Amino acid sequence: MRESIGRWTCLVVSLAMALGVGTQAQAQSAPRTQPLPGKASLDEVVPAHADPRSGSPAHWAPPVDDKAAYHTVRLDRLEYQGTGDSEAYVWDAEAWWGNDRHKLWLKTEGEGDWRTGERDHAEVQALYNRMWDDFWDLQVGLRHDIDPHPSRSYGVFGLQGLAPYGIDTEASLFVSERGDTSARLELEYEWLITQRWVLSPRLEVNASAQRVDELEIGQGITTSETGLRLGYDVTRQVSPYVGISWQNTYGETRRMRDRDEADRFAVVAGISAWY
Amino acid sequence: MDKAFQQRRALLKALAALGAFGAVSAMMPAAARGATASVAPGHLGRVQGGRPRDVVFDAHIRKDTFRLGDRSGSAYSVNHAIPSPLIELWEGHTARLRVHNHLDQPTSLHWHGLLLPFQMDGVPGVAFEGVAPNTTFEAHFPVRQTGTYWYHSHSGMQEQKGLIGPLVVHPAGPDPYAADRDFVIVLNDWTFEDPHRIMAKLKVQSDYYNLDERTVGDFFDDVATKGWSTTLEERRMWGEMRMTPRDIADVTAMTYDYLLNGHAPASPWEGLFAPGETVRLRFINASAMTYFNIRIPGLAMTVIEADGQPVSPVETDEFQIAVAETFDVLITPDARPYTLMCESMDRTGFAVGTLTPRLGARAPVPALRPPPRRTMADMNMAGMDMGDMDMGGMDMNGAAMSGHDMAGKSMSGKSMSGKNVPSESHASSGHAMAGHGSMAHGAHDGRDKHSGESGHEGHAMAAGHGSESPGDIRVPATMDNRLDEPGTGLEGLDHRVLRYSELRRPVPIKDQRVPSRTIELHLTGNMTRYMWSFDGVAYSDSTPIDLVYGERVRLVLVNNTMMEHPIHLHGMFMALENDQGAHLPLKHTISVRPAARVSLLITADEPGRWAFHCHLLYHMDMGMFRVVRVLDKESAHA
Repeated sequence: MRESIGRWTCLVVSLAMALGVGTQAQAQSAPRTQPLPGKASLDEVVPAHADPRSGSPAHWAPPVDDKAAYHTVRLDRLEYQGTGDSEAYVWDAEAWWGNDRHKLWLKTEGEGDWRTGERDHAEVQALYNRMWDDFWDLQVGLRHDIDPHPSRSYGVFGLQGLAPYGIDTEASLFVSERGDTSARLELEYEWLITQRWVLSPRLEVNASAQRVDELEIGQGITTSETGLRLGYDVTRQVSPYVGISWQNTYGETRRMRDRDEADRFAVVAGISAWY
Repeated sequence: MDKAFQQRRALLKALAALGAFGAVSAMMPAAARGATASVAPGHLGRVQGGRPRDVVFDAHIRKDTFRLGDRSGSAYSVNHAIPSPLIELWEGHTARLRVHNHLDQPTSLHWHGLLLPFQMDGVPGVAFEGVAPNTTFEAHFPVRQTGTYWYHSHSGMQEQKGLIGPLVVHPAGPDPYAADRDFVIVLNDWTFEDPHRIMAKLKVQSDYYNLDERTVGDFFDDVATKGWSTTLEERRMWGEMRMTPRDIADVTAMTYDYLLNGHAPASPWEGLFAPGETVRLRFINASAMTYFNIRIPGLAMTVIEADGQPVSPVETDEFQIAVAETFDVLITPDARPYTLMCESMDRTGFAVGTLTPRLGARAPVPALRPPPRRTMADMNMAGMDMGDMDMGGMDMNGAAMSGHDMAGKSMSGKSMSGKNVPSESHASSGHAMAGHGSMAHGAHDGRDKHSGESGHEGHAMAAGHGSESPGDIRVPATMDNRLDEPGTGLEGLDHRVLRYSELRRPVPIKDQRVPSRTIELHLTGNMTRYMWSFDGVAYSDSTPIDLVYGERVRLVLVNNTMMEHPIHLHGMFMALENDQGAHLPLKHTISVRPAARVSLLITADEPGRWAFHCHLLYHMDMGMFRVVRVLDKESAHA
């Protein structure tokens, strides 16, 4: 009630002023000729307990939130692979949470038989990610392979970032609990046919420092995947795609594996998405 | 004008005010208002003026619904208006601006461009603690300036969600440009998205909102017009920097609707005039992220004010307005409708209005022009043999880089820090700028353009990524102030385009002292990571920039990024050193072009803690922000 009276008073006064009858009010506030007040005193600038960045009282919230943590979940590939006589599914996903300098990364990838659902390979990685350079991050953490059995764990050292020409690069060094050392390099590029049609060449190369019989890998370059995928950005965050993929084995690994597993050519179809 | 006439005019204006959005309507009880719907057609945005007086304004901030056609979304309103209502103040009188927070979160209103005690400035965390929910803050101060300004929330992302409004300060005496009609033209970029989500998307994929990226087709077009070698060389250069010439705006019409006085192009704002009248248009760019190119096809505009401060009249056909700037123009339209064409700088969209002698009449809306491209000039690479690439009229000042070695390849790491003017109180000043191979730099004569003393040695920083911190990718080699260039995308037009170099204060600026020292700040960032800072240091790792009360300093801003940054200093005007001698224009916001090095003079005569930041909202929030303190000598940082 009180407030509404105040409002109406304001209204009446302002109308009166606008109509030019508020001569008294005007007389009270004639232009000042003295040096204008309206400046703060120098004594008011530095408080007793000041925040080092703002110089303001230390308990005030900061004016901007530049250390805020962000996060994303990205499904790089969820894909069907068909070869002449076999069919497989593949996933490759990651998520991160953190600010510019420090992030926690989670990565997972794997594959299995499309018909039986049986997994051949499944791994998860949990990594601490540290900004290192303009375009590069360093990562250190753990990898755990649920499949193949028996499961095994690795220490991971990674370098991830954007190489010149905008090539997404992920290089990882793995040391297993048994001391085996292996490495993986993944390169991917997005070539825009139009603003929505994107052709992505992808190369993954694996290498091992020693022969590991249980995993059927030999010393040296072990396997590679070379792919070419054509996607359509339905939105900026959802892109179904089709493509082709060559999977090859090399050297000692090639000799260790069955002839029909040595090289595969697959037609692929899948979806990538992120939030 | 005789007094009786003046009074009659004031009366007429006041009557018009009853329906218009203005200080008066803002005091009407809520039930009597429905946003701006009560304004008579053709009068929205009219400046009422009237008898000089003290003003009490109650700003009730609420969560509200904003509608565009059949779309609607949540927004913040002042007295149910989006954009917020016009506040009119009078020089020599007092303002009592009461901010009532009806939200469930803290809020604030910053009076952009006003001179006042810093505690009234409305920046939470710097000037005051903010306005807590269900409380009221009163900004009470004497008004000691004139001109067109604006106000907006300085809390979180509220500014992006509608908390923006025009503010006009009338002179105590007669208005030298008493126009027959007077409108505010508030431009903004509205989105139905949550601004925090926009920020998150930019952090994950900084080109998220860019739907004008280079394609395979562009490559072959370039080959056809420029030949293989130039095209490949040019692609190699951008590729090695991991950048793109297509990066004009971080956030585009993909999410934005560009509005003029709250109206989208589908139902444009209308301003009525009577034939023969002189019309004053007060353009305010209240956008979060968008620069606009403004023109009125068929009509010349006479610019009379910039950032609220008078400039000697300049006639022009088009001008670019940076985020947070204001420009006042006078026009004398013929008896026909005209289109106010406000094209976003990246040309993904536009805001539009109609000035018309009769309601409902329309002038044709011109088509959007092709989007601009970043050029060699934006890296100061005009020495490149880039065939027909647009050099944007660069004055190279005798410094040239020999082409091929520019991008991050041979990091000979020549430290240039010894040549820098020491920049006070900043951790990462004197940064080692990586020189690259065959870079030839003469002492640039940029300083000769300024008034001479304490001259900084010219230095050409190299392109590439030789900087100290990952948030600071030094791209452009900066030398020229670029004040004599039209804005990005306005090069080579066959009509006149306003340049910063043309702004001239009609009277000499008061403080003609030689600055006692130079503070150099680099505008730095990393587009890929979406990090923005000064000198590679974000706000949360920074300390205040201290000015001693009464001193005159030169502030040199060096843009090491590939995009414009509108840099805003609260509480004090900056005199832009644009070769106008004693008549330097005063600005509260200066847009620094890519690769530009501009110089400003500041008289530290306003004690306080003042925010100083890039006015691109998402850059500011990423830490392109500092506090400038004006204090006594004893308290100042060594």
